[in-house]
Order: sequence, then structure tokens, then C-alpha cells
Amino acid sequence: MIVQRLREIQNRYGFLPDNELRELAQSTGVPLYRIEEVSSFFPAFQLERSDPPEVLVRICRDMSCHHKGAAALLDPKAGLPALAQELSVKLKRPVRVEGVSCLGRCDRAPAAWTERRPMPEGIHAWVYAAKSPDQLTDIIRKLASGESPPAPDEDLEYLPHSNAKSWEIDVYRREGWPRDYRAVRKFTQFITDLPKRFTPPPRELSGKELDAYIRDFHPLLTELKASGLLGMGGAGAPAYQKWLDVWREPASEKYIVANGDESEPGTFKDRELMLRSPHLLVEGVILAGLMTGASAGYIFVRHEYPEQIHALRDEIHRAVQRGACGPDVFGTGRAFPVEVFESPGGYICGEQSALIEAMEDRRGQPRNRPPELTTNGLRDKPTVVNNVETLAWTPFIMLRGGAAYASGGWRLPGDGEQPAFSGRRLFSISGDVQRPGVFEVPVGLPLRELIESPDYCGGVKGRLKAIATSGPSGGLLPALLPIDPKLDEKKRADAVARIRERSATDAELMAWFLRTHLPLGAATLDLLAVPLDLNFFRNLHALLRFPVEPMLGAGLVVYAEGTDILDAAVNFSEFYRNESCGKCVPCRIGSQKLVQIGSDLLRRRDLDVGLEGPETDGLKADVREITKTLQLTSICGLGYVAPIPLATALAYFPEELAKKPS
Amino acid sequence: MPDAPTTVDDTLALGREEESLFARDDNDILIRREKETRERFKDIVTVVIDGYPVEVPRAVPRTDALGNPLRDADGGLIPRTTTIHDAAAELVARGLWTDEEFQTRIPTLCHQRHITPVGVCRMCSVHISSMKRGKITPGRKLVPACQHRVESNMVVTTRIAATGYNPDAIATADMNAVERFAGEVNDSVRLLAEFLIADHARSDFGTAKRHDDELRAVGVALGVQKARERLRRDPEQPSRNLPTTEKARRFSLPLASAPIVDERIPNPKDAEEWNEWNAAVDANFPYSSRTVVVDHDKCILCDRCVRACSEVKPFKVIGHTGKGYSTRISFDLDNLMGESSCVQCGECMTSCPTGALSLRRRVQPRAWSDSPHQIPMNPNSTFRSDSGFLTADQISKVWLRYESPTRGPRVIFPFRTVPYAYLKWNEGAVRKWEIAPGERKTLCLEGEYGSTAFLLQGTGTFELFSRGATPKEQPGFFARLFGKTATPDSGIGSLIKIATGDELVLGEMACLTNRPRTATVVAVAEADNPRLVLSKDKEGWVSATIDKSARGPVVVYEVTRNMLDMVLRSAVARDDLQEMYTFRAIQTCVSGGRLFSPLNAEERDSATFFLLKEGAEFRRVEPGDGVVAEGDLASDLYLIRLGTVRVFRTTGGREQVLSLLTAGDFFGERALLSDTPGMRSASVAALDAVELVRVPGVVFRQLCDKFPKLREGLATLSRPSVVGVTHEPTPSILNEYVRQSLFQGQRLLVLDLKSCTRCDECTRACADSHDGNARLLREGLRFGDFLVATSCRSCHKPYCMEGCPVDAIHRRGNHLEVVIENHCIGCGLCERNCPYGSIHMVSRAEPNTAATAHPDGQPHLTAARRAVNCDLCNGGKPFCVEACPHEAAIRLSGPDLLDEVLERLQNQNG
Repeated sequence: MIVQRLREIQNRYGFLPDNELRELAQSTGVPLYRIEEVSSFFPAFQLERSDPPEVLVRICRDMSCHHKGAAALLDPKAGLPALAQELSVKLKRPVRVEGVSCLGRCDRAPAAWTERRPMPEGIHAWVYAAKSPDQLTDIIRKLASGESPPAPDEDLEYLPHSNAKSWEIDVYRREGWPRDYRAVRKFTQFITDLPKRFTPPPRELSGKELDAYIRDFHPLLTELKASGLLGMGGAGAPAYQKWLDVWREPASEKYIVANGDESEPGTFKDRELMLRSPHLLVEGVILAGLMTGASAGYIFVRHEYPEQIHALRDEIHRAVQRGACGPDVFGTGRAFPVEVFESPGGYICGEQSALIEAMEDRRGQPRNRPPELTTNGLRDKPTVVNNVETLAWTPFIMLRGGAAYASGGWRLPGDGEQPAFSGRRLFSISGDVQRPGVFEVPVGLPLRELIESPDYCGGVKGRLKAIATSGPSGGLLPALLPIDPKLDEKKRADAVARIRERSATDAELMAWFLRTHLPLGAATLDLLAVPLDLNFFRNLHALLRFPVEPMLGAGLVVYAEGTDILDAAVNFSEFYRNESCGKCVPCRIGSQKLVQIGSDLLRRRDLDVGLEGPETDGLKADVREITKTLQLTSICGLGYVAPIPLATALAYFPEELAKKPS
Repeated sequence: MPDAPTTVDDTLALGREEESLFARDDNDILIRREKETRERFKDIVTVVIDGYPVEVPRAVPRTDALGNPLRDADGGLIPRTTTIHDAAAELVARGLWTDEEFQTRIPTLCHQRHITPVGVCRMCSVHISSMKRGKITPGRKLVPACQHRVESNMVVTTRIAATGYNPDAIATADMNAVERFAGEVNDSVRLLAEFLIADHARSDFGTAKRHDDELRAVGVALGVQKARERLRRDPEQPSRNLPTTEKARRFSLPLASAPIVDERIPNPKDAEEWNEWNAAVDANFPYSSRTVVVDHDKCILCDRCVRACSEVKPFKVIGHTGKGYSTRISFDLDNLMGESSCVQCGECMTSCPTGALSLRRRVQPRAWSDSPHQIPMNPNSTFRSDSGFLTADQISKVWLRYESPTRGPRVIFPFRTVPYAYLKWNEGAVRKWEIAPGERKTLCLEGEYGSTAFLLQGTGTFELFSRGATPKEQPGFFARLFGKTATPDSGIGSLIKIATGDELVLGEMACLTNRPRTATVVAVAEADNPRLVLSKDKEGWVSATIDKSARGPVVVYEVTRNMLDMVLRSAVARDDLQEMYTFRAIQTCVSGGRLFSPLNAEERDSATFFLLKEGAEFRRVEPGDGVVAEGDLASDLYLIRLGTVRVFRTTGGREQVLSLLTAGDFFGERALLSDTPGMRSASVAALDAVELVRVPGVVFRQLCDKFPKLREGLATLSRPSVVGVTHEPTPSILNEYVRQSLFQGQRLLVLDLKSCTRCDECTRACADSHDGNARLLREGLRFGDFLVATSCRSCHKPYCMEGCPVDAIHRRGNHLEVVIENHCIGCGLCERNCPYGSIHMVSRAEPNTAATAHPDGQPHLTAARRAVNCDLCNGGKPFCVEACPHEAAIRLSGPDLLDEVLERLQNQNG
């Protein structure tokens, strides 16, 4: 409740006045320190003490925007901050230009978030995207002089490059059906027809008995299992397992939370999904709720997506009117309300337990786990937290069956019974490609297809230099990844055998890849040949032992020849430093040390004082040590990935330590 | 030897992500964090830590800062989850690890056992392998030992690994893997220590040592003294002590612009130093308050102060502000500490491991009349060594030779575990008395309220005198009217006991229970009193030997109550003191108990010895807890050492109080006297904190056989329902008497409503005599014809005194009144503690001169606040009583009031 109340105050004043905070503490009985903890943590809130200006311009400083010149825009001497300074003095109206973490408009870099106190009723901010420095200067001048601002770049009006017409995820449009929540109806019908009470399996059931129970009493959950749908948030845990765990938990209240806090630089697929197909997400939340016996659903959306929040609220309203959610879902007597929770901001809220903390009016700091959220989640109740896309796929799976989803994966070339990857998913791609945008592709599609096919990105602008395969968290991978040429037949066979212990299909796919793309003695791996599959990436690392673990996320950024890799890597590191919550020592201090090391390297390179050989070795050893420690001891995934960007730059682009690319 | 389970090779990070490894138990069921249950106290699991197997229950009782177990409303222990850190502590408790070894294997910074673990510093990271589907599966990430719960068959590897490895345990784990895990733990923990040292190990401010530096100590234990060049903090990073924006600086510096002159600093040089020190603090550390210097650059964000402020103390002032690398601790809305609602209780400062919160000024305790003049406020100034007051360094080195009744001779360092910052703050709370050979010194007088205890170094004899149990004086009407106390006679009575110097402590009961001294103690140093020498053997074990060839003084350390509280936070000191306390509790119960009144002094000694030998047991009962229940099988006799219990029956779901019993009483004897054990005829429950001695029925019967006079005495014993009340109360009146807690009162202010005209003269008289602040409220509950006004009741059990951080509230001499000294820091704890609303926080007429002031000279709220309480007009005639024109206001004790009410009733009916 505090978070919402703070949001109201922020909307009213444009910042949080101290005396309002005191009043809030008094009226809610919450100690002042708790109010301070929350209000000072989230970027959506501006404290009176931070000296809020009348005109605030926040330029995205991360990844794609950095690549498209945000650093120059934010240069304190020659960039927009200098202009703000000048205007503040001249017009006697405080204007401030500052950097901000990724705004989710990576396909239209650079993005700018502008506010002028007081904002017109109902308008959150004016967002501008892909504007030139001159245009931005003009906008700032207009805002500062009190003129009405130029028309903002609304998400709704901008159509990114996409293959949206053929998206299978939107099962209604592809089938030509009205968006009538028929997947929910399918489940409620099943419940109504069920001769006995719909009860979770007894706690002692396991293995085959459990599978049989579910097959008989919860066949749609079996469909979810058959689909092999993985979480799209990054870790890639099977969605089925989470739902089953929560269904099995004995609790009177359970919750579904859709994680729409898409704040990873380079990732903007959920932005499109929530804006253009909100009904899929709402239906996914309702399905998860009904199928796990949950009592309420929340859609947690980052505050920088006001249009999406609006679309979702409209859709929820529509769903309630249709009877698909609310007090009585399709006459079953079961209540399942769905609500949008406007995130107070911050990348860390995408971490599921931090997200729950934020919903519980605390600082968005990840929890020590176990216990997992599936047992002790929101308000200490069992909770499913799923990515937006994960939930949005469920209507398709319920209506067309799990097998239909699974069979959407990429098939190996050839005919007959070739092994295949499983499922489809969305990728958002930005950077130096012809057609940046959001594409739905079969899982396992070779990266080359995605980048070069005219159906998708339509090729690189210039020559490919590096790809960030998971926003900043996977660092920068070169087009040709160095590998150990001494990988002999036996080692390969052993590794494949070990993969087989987990999944026979995975092993066959790996065997195929080795056969076709990695001849014995090969010293490099063609990055573009790698299939886009999370588990394939993991298995590949287990086999080839890259110097740094490669990651696959939903946001890819392509860098063409000429990119300053070291500069980009330091930029990525800064992102993690800026977004670290500060709870645990390894991440809080480690992320700062990485930035310190990286900035020092940049400074030395600019001064042409490159590193000597032994010094380079020492530096690399230190970064390795930091990487290992952060990965072993950080509470959450942010600390795990924070060192990767710098580590990849040192491992794959060592020549750039001495010389800036031309 | 058990079959060795196979170990999964974790070197390959294979695909197909599952729930994080340790989220599921052996049956593949997700681990829930459920409310811990008391059943888990008995659910034992075995954990192997570095090869040392240790059995621990899944849950242990939650404790407070003093290590006392906490109880819920039903009186049951509150369980909390047992962690790996607890299991390791168990190894220390069993003597398998030393404390140093524990700290070396599992270093901690953010964890303290009495607060909720948060696992943020990660210094206690360990590697665990757990049983998963029949295999010992090693974890991929490290877990914080302070927070991670124990599981059966868990194998824990610390940074030291196999040293001292148990050969039986080797079979259960792959040694190479264990070495590798230990290496990972060691490398990680060392790097984290380096991070912290790089950013937060700053040089000290001021000339005196004012705190312990746990960060450096951990660094030393890990062999990390400084950070490598590459990791050092960028010198261009701005200090966190300077507010970032103009508005974040709540008011302009300097904070204390006016020079502070304090009448309590007689030496002008001291005053000058004090002013310089304050100016320096204000300039460099603007977030500071008048008690604490706040240095954000030293803060490692361990959250210990945050939890101390909200968990150990109830103030809820400290939190965090900002995010990520720029996070700081903050007070309220990131106010300056002195500007916040902080009450200056000092708990945060004593919990800080790095000195980010350190001492700005000393307390000047009033336990001795001369102390304020001896101890300067400036913690950097030294004080005269001939004053007897010890410095923090001296206090931490104090040692005592103690002859434990059960464990033989021991040397203990009672203050070693007290945080240095606390010692420094309370320099002046420990006073050393040296009694030269051939001399005597009276330490305390019977009947006086004392807020100090005496720790004995090991030699000398101590003569205890008592005037004996004086018969209860029945004050006449006039005496009641004016609330006179019976003046003690001038003699010190007869010698009742001679204690020796190796008994550790004397006078602790008066200090811990806020009761008057039960004896006059005279320390005697014989002419040939030997010298005590502290020595260390080769292995580093300390012992104290008596050097008979040399003369030495008898040494006694007098310590204040708040310091004794801190000493008791250490489990070791608690054990030793508890042992003596128990011993004496039984002693006083027997020597002063009504049960033993038929016996003569010699027989009582013999009975005491018999009870101690046969296993009489000391027991503490929390308010509300039941002791015996109606209908239970009777098995024990209870002697009350302290507190009040109510005896009641429950009929038709309603409780009917039969009688109240207090110190010196006993219960449970009736059902024991017959040969077959009978049923309890009534229940007994504690009304306040009660201390009992439990005598098993068998022992009691043996005692009766030994002393037939006891049995005879019991047969003829008549017991009033309430001691000191001659009339027999009806159950309803007694119920009301208990409900209003009137039994607590020694000086209730009551207004006879038959004659009171509500003229309010009493309130006015009180206000007139106390700076315009009335300390009574002419409101309250009615009892019979009387209104019990809201004014200090001079309770038997003064709840108000619990936890005062600076020992400002106490009783002195033989006066009943609860005194709040001028060095009260205005924390409001006593106001919260008083169940009857008798303590008020008022503005100081004269601002506390040590307070942080606004530039306009106005001192801030809390600095200007202090607690006040009825002072019974300093022992004279209370003005409220004196001023009443209708003789309606009187001061009465609880039993007297009850008697008065009963008498009026009888007259009405008769």
C-alpha cells in the first residue's frame, strides 16, 4: 500500500515532499525509516531532498542507447546537461538532464523520458525516441520555456519490425477467433464436468503415481508439461513445475504474479506483447490462477510502460465484463480478481523475490533462498511468478495442446525422424541490424537465420563484430569464439553421454551440432551457427568450457565492426553497478570495483598508457577472481552476471585494451 | 562403516534448469518456511562441519540480547530455525572448537546470534552438500551459514576444510572435492574481506580508541590486511558523510555553533577540549548526534544497527537510504541522527562492528555521588587514575578468580565480551576498590536500594550483617497518612554470614531485581592478605595463583546495573553469575522463608546445605506463566524468592483468586504432606517476574523427617489471603485488587472519594513544586471508596528500570522513590515500560547542554526531553498529600489499601 500511496503523492507533486512522507507515516503507522527505505530506493520516486527540477529529462544511457550516442548527449561539458545548466540560469527555471537506466525503447535508440512539473492530468511523461541531438535540444528548450512539448513518440503508434502477422502466440488472431477467453472457458467447463472435487494430489504421491493423478484429474496441466514450456525470464525453469508446486501447496491463499518488469537493456518483447496482445497475458494469468487454485493475480509492470499499463487495465476490465475473471469466473462460483501493479522501477525488481518484496512495500531486494516463492511468496503464501511471455503462451497451449507448442521448435535439416528443438519464443533485437524489432522464432533456430533472414532482421549494418546474446548479462561474444582445438573424440563422446543423462534429445542435438559444425581440431566456433536454445547454450558451455559462460536471453544486441568493445563492456558493467540493490557485499562492492577497473582501462587507453604483459595477466586474474566470487556468493542473479561483460571483453577482445578500434 | 553415496560431478553446468538445488528436500518436496514448531526442538539432525559431526535440533528457542529465551503469550518457548552457524556454535559449546577456531572457520560481520540473520556480508559463506535422492549432491553456490537452515546429513565445508577431519566422516565425502570447495570458500571470503577493507577500513577519528574494529579483526583472521592497488577505493569518490545536495543537508553547518560550557566540567581545559572535539565532529561528520559520531565511510551496511534499533530496542529509527553502491544507513527520513527521533539509547553504536557509529561523549553515571566530576564527557580526555574508575581498556582486562561450586577454580574476564564502544561510553560504570591489608570497608548497607553489584577478585573475606527479620510494623493512622517509612535502626545488626573472596559476586540481587539490599556487607582485608597473580601456561590457559609470600589488597569491582546487564549478554558470564545467583537464591529462601521460621539459625544452615545437595532447583517464571495447575498430580514444593503469584481456582470458566503470595512465602506443601501424592487443589500463576526454588516432594518429605519442627509448624500455620492484610477479602474484591495490580504498590496515591471535592489542589501542589510539570494525574481506576491516581506507585517490581541504557533511573539509599537522574538521555524507555502510565516525558527547563543545537540555538526535541516521575518529594512529606485541604489524599501500600477498603465494608455491613 505504501508504494501506491507514494505513487499518488509523486503524481500530485511531481516529487515526494518530506512533510507528505511524515503524514503518510503518521496515517499508516509505518515508521519513518520504512518510508525512507522505500521512497529512496525506487527510481520512480523523487525525493524533495534530491532537489527535483521543474523540467526533468532522463536520457537512457544503456546498451543500445549508449551505442547510438547517449554518452555524448550526457556529456556534462558539451552535452545536454550543459544546455540544462544554461537554461536554468537563463530562464530561472531549474532544468536537469540526467542519465537513466534502460527505458525499454532499445529499437528506437536513444530514448528520452521528459517531465515538467506539474504534468497534465493523466499523463505520466513524454517519451521521445530515436531523436537527433538537435531535436532533443529543441525539445528541451520548448519544455524549459513553458511551451507545449512536441508530440511524444508513443509506443502504440510505432510499429517495430516484426513477424507479428504470423505469431502463433496470438492463438486468437491466427485462428480467426474472437478474443473470448475460450482457454479459460475450456478449463472451467472441465471443472464443471468433473464428477468429483478438484483437489491437488496428496502430498505423498510422487513419480509415476503423481503423473497418473495429474493426467486423470488435471489433464490441462499435463498439456503444459507436454509443451515443455520454459520460463522466458532468463533462468528457463519449466513452467509446469512451478504451477504444479503451487497447486500442491496446501494454503487457503495463493497468488499469481506476472513479471512485466522488463528492464534488461536490449529486451522489449514484453512491451509489444502487453501493448498489442494484453488479452493473452490476462488470460494466461487467469489460467494459472484457476489451474493452481490461486486466489488473486497481479501483473507487475514497469512504470516506464504507461501505455501498456493502460492497455492491460482496459483488458482486465473487458475480461471482468465477459465474466472471465472477477468475483465469479464463468459461473463456476470461483473468484479470481486480476490487478495491475505499477512497478516503482528498477532492474532488480525483475528478480522474482525482489519483485515480491517491492509488492510488499519493502525495498526491492532479493531474498535469500530457499524457501522458494512457490512455497513462501507474496504475503508468505505460495506464489507463481512467471514472465509475461510464459503466461501469454498458455492460452495457445490450452487450446491447441502441448504437443502443438512443442512441435513448433526448429527441426534439423533433413527428412524423416530428425530430432527437433521444442517450442517457440520471442526475441527482441536491436543494434546494428537492418530491421530491429520483435520476432517470434522456433526455438533452436540458428542465430544466423535470425540475423540475416529477410523475414527477421534482414542482415547486419556493416560487418558483424560482436553480439550480446542476453542483454548485457552475457557480455559480448565475437563472431568467432575461440575454443580448445584439443577437444578429442573421447571428450566429446563423454560430454554427450553426460548430456544424455538429462535429456536424450539434447544429446542428439549436440551430437548433430558437433558433427556438422565442429570438425575435430577446430579452433573457433561460428557464433552464428549456434541454435537459439537456452539449454543448448548451457550444454555447449559444459562441453567446450568457454572462458566465460555464454548466456542466452530474450534481448539480443548486434554490434558491427567499429564498435568500441571495451567501452561497451564498461557501459554494461555500469548498468549492473547502477542497478545493484546494495544488499549483499559481493554485488554491491564487486560491481563498483568492476566499473573502477574498466574505467581505469579506458582512461589508460585514452592516454595511450596500455598495459604491459604481466600487468594484463594480473588484471585478468583479478577479474576472474571477482567473477568467481560474485558468482559463488551473491544472493541473486544480478551479482552472478555483473562481472560477465568485462570478463568477455578481456577474454575475446584483448587487443582492444591497448588500442581503440577505428 | 556406511555405504559411501556417490557424489554427482558438478563440474559440468549442464542444461535443463531445475529449482535451485537446495529448495527441495530428500523426498523431492519443496521446502516450506513454516512457522517453526516446538516439536522441532526434539527433532535432531546430524550435520558434519569440516568433518566434525554434530547433532542439533531443527529448531532452537529464540533469545533476546541477554540470551534469555523468549516466550509467547502462552508462556511457551518461541522456536526459530537452527542454522549452520548455530550448529558450529554447538561444536564450540562442546569444547571441540575454540572460539578463535570458530571465527577462523566461519568469520562473521553482519551476524549476531540474538538478531534475525540477513546474510548480507557473506563472510560466513560455506559450501554445503546435501542428500538429494540418495546422493550427496554438492551445491553450486555457497550459502551463508548464519542464515541457512540445517538439514539431516548435510555436509558443510568451511574455508579451513579438513583440518581436524573426523576419519569416520571421510568415507562420506570425496576428499579432493572437499579441498576444492574449501578453496572456493576461502578465496571468496578473502576477496569479500578485501572489498570491505578497500572501501571501509578508514583510520580512526579522534585520539582515543572508541570502538572495536571487527572488520580489521576478521581481516587479520583471514590474512587480509589491505586491499590490492587495483581494488582500492577511488580517492576521488566523495565522502558519504557530506550530503549530496543542498537540500539533503538539513541545516547549515556548524551544528553546534555556540560554544558549549558545562557546569559539570570544572576544569576550563576540559571544556576547551570538549568544544574542540564537538566542532571537529560537526565539521567532519554532520550526521552525528550528541552521543554518537556517524561516519558513513566506515559503514559496511551489515544492518546490525538497523536490527538493533528495531529488534533489540523498539525504536525503529534506523533504516537505509539510496540504492546500490551509494546505499547508506539513515535515520528517519535520512535526517541527521541528532535531528531524528533517535532517543540516543546507544544500542546501534554498541552493535556496530566497524566504528561507523562510535562514541561522541561519555555517560557520567550517578551511582556514586562523586562520579560526574571525575569523568569528563569528552571520550578523548583521560580522567584521574586515583578516582578508582576504570578506563575501557582496564575494564576489559578485569579478571576474577572464582571457585565454582560445581566446576572448581576458574578465572573469568567478565567484561571481555562487552563491546568496547559500550565500555568506553560507560567509563565510570566500574569502580575499583582496593582494601589494603589490615583494613575494612563497608560496601553497602542493608535496606538501601543499590544499583550496583560487587565483583570480587578472589581474596579477602566479606562479613554480611543483618538486623534480622523485623516484624511487620503496623503503622498508625498518622503514619499512613504521611507515608512515612519505618526508619532503619542505626546498628547494622548481627553477623549472619562470612563470604570469601572467591565467590565471584555480592550484592547482585539488589542490583538485578531493584530490591533493597538484604544485608550490610563489610569487606575485610586481613593483615596477611595474600597477593593474587594472573599467569598463563604454555598452552595459553590462564590461571590465578595465590602468592602467600606477598601481601596484596582485597580488590572489589563495583559495577552499575546497566553494565551488569551487558555482562550478562555473554553466555559464559551468565553461566557463572547464574550459578552464584541460584546458590544464593536458595540460601535466602531458606534463611528468610516463612516455612523455615520454626528452625533456628544453625538448623537453617543445615537445611540449606541439605536442599542444595539434594537438588533444589532455581526457576524463573515470566509474568502470566503458570507454575502449578489445578488437578495436576502434586510433586513439588515451591519457595518464592521474588515476585508475586496468585493462587486461583477456575469455576465455570471464571477465575477466582484465592490468595496472593509474595517473597518469603511458599506453596504446594499441602498435597505433599500425606504419604500418597495428592492432587493440586488450586492453580498458581506468576503476576510479575517470579523467582522460585523448586523442592522435589521426596526431598521435602526427607527434610520434614529430618526436622520434625517443620511439619509441626506447618500444621499450626495460619495464612492470610494477602500478606499484611488482616481482613479476609471476598473473591471479587481480590480479583479487582489483582486486576489493578495494586499489590505492586508500596506508595499508592489514593484519594478518598468520600471526602475529595475534586479541587485539584494535589495536582497544583505537585506542579508548583516540580518546575510546573505535575507528576500526578487525578485520574485512574476506582477501588472501593478510593480513586487510585496516576502517580508512581513505588512498585515492588519496578518495570520502569528495565533496560535503561545509562542507568539514569534507580532507587537510592533507603528511599522508596524512583529517581530519574539528570543524565537521563530522554530515550523514553521507562515511560514505555511503566504499566501504570506514571512516567512522563517533559521538556527540560534547562536544555541538556550536551545537546546538538540548531543554529538558532534551540536544542532539538529529544535532546531537550527527559523522563520525570513522582519523587515522593524527595522522601519528605509528599506535597500532594500535604496540600489536600480535605485530608482525602493519602499514600498507602497495596495491602493497606485493601485492608482499609475491607474494613469500611465490614463497618457498613456490621
